[in-house]
Amino acid sequence: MVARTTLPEHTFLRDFWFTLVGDSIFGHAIRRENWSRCFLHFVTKHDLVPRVLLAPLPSIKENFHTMLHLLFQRATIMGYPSIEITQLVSSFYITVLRNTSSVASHDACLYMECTNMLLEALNAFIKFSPFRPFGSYAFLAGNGRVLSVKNANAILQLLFYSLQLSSGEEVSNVAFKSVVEHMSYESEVQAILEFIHLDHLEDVYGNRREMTSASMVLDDLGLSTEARLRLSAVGEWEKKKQNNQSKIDGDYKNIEEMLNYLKKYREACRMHEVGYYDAFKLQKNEVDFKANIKRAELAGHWDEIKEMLRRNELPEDFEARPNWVNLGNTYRCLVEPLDIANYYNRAKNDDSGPYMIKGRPQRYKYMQKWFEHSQRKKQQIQDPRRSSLQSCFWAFVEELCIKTSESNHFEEVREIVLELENEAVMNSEFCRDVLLKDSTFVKWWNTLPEQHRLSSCIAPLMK
Amino acid sequence: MVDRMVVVVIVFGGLVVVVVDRWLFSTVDWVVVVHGGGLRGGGGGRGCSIVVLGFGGGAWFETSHILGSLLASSPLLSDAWSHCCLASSSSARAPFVVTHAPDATYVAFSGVQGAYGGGGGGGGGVFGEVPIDAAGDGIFSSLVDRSGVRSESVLVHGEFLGMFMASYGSPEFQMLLTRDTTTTTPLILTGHSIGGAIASLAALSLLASPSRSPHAKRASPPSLLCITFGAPLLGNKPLSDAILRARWHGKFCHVVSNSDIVPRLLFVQIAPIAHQVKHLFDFYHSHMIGGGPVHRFPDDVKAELYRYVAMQASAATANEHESDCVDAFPMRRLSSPYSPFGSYLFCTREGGATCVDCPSMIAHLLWSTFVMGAVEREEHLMYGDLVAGVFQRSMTRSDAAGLNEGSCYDAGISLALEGCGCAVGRGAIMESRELFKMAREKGVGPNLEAARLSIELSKKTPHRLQIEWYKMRNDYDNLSYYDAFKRRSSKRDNRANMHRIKLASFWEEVVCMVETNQLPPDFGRLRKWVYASHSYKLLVEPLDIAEYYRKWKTGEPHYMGQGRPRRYRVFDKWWEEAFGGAKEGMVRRRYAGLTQDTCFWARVEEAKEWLERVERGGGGGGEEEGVMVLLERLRGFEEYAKGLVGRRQVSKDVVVEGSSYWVWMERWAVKKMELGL
Repeated sequence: MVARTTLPEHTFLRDFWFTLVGDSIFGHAIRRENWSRCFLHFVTKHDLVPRVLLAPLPSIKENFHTMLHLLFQRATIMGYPSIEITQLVSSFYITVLRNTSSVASHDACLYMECTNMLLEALNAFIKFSPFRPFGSYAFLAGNGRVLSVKNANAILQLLFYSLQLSSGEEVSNVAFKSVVEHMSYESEVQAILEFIHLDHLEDVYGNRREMTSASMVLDDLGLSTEARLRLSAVGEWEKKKQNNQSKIDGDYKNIEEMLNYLKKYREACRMHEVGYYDAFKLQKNEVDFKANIKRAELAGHWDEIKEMLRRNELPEDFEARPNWVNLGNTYRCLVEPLDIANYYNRAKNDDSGPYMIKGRPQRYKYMQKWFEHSQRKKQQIQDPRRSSLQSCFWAFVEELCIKTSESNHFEEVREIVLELENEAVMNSEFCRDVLLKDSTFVKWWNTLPEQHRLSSCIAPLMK
Repeated sequence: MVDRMVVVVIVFGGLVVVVVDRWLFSTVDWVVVVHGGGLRGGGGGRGCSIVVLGFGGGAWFETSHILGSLLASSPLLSDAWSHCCLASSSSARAPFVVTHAPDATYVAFSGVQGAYGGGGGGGGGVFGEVPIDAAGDGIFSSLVDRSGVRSESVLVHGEFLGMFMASYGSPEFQMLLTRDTTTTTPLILTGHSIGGAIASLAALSLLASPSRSPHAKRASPPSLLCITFGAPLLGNKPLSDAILRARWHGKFCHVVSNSDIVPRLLFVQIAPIAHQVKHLFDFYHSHMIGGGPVHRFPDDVKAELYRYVAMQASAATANEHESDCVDAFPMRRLSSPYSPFGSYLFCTREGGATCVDCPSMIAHLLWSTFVMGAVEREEHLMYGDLVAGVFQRSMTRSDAAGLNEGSCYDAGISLALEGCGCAVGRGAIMESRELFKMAREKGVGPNLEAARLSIELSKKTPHRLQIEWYKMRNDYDNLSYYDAFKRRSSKRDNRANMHRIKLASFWEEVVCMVETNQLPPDFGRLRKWVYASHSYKLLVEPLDIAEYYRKWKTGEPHYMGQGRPRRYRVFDKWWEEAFGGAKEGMVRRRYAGLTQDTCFWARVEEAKEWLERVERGGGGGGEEEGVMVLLERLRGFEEYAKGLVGRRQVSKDVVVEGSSYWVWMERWAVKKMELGL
């Protein structure tokens, strides 16, 4: 069952004994677009199939076909199963349980911020499944109560802890129970009395002695105290993310102010008949230096956001929030030319090569991707080349300046020149800076062969 | 990410949290919270416990038992144990066995390695320790600090080192050293008992040797893991520190049972009990080899041995941890130099497992979890059962007894304590809890400091930009910013000086914190800091040189000799480690933005001095410093400088008319003509 990207808002996909399909990035994408509520997976306490893909394939490959066979042949189970079947089912159960435990413990160490370096080293030696839950899960506790959970980390912990053996329980009994449960969804669903939503995860441990419905259904699922601790930790982690989000939201105004300052700088440069790109490059006046400081400050803010995203410290829907996407886009179109000017001014292209290849800061790449993604959702497909041209126009110009000064073969660069000219024509905001008399672009353009210049689309604008 | 500081004001019965804004940030460092009972206000006043909350906000969680259950549920431990048994059994004749599995290569060291003399023998100190570089061949040279900053030398147990050296020479081991780490499967070294200590040495030798594969561009540490079972202690605290600094301590996992005497043995002086210890090891070896006559070890002697070790160990570890705990054994013997390193997985027979990596915490737990096991079971030999028990428990639901603690953090600590079997004796528990909290702070502290420094770095950006602006202005006016700064004639120069000083104090703080281990061990490897320090050095070191020579008088040491601040040396090292020597720059069409050799101006000043001495008639510096030597040096410098300028690796300000270099070039040309060179 694969989700399509153009799922309408209120489609409700319900499925049973659904096995995991995607990895954590897939889940993150679903949560980012706020589609979690569109997917509801029902799971019973002991059913193995939803957990099966948490075990690496080699360990379950052998027995998997037999297990599947068994799952569809109730008759074999109802009678007295042979010793081989018992052993097979038990060992399958233990394999899935042990791997679910590994994955759950590993993820718990990450969001509980374990600082032991052994954790990192273990990644090369223990095979952790890449699959993670997505959407919402409904855990059938077996007495009419259903626990509905949206948080992916909580779901993973519940998938393990509800599967855990009770002390003194025989593995074979539980294993057969799991097979039976796998086939009994119909009766379970018909017996549903109430849906209980698990909110306020951080209080799960603290409220363990209270008689709330959530607490009781957690007991029905057989969760130990340690399980509750882990769920509380998930809650705290989410809270931390929300705190980070509020902190970042506090910076929003600040960033807007700095962008306004730079917009005014751009206007002022235009009034002096010099494009702000060139003025910034020359750094002749105090006002250019002040613009440089603002540029550096903005870079600091956005780099901080980028770092937080990289470490998963912001809520999952951050990259889809329209106000941030728009702010990022404004920042990129306004300030990237200044970064380019800085780069070429300090001869960094001699140190590290052309801007577009090695010099472009990550934050701009991210912002471009966000913008393109948001456009795609609005059904306005953006050509990636075009959106990078919007902000990296000057980088292309600088590289062309270098290329044309070295070799005189216009044909090699003809295509790019045409693209740039097109962009200059189509983007009116641009025109005002690019086509000013002493701009880098104009100076370079005048060095092109006359034949091209006469027939170019920007020839009329150049007069 | 560090953002808000939780300032807690309070006390008994409740908790009030005040969240403070960023601007207050720099004025407040740590906050001490004193609260009575748990954070939820429950837990009837058992006095105050002090919890120090740093940055970060939100609750903390104890993770050592979770890592323990991760290890328990993975097949790593049982696989490693089966390889150990194979290696120790009589069928294996070699000191170690190499097995190639599809996903890893196992190197298992036998627990029976020749005759163990019972420690203390074979030269070395009272506890049998010898310097690690007694191994010769410079095998462990990267662990030994050559700069002499650290006073204590790295010591390891002499006999274990000797046994390891015997295996080191064998062709199979040499093959391990030279394998291509990029294409082969990762390596797991493992060993039981003495084999464990030797496996650790083997792992250290592999980590310390630069990769000899032709494919590795720069020495990257091989992907390996060392799992030991009931291994005795190996080295002293400097060894543990060196491993921490090199960032290798995450590659060691020592599994320890709470009734096993061997890991605790080296906390005590062996000499008084040497005979019993030898007997004990003979007993172990006969069981490990199996299939032959079995030694007997009388139970009462065993009990006596255990009591002796328990008493001595508690006295010895009393000075391992920092807190003032009540010393139950006031008579201190000569304390053992041995210290744990890497991570320890404490397992109990009930199936608990807790993984700890703080060395002082480990030392404390080794003592406080030690119980005399049932006499008929020999724990040291039963790691297989232990590992199976730990696995079984991780699969089973268990309600930890009496989790009364109110806060999640305290509950986590209780689980961790139970996992390592520390629930014995009331006195031990309080102390252990405090130690867990301190260990957590120690673990989290460096990351918080690194985050704080990141913020400081961005605050210092305006100063750096001001100096860039200063250079640009000078370039514009066709002056060298080095000379302008040296002359210090205008307001602009003075302002630049102020910025230079602010940046210098920031970077000095960074380097100082790195050296005193207040920052994460990999700090100097993070790209962000490598780039930031490098660009600071390129821009500002010329100004520091100018400042030095502004006050310099003839006869004083040169900048390159003793005047260079330590931080620049550290930055050089970071850059070198990250990018391995000079980057082959691209062909430059114009002069670089900044002179790539940051000490260029210092060399110019030296050359200036030599030229002056030649002009004065030579000499002035001892017999050897005759005119010929000076001329030789001057020629060398000229060639070097011309090369740099030719490749345009210098900034425009070097070749501008009137710069120190330009002046020197003119004078040297004149001198050369005079001398007919």
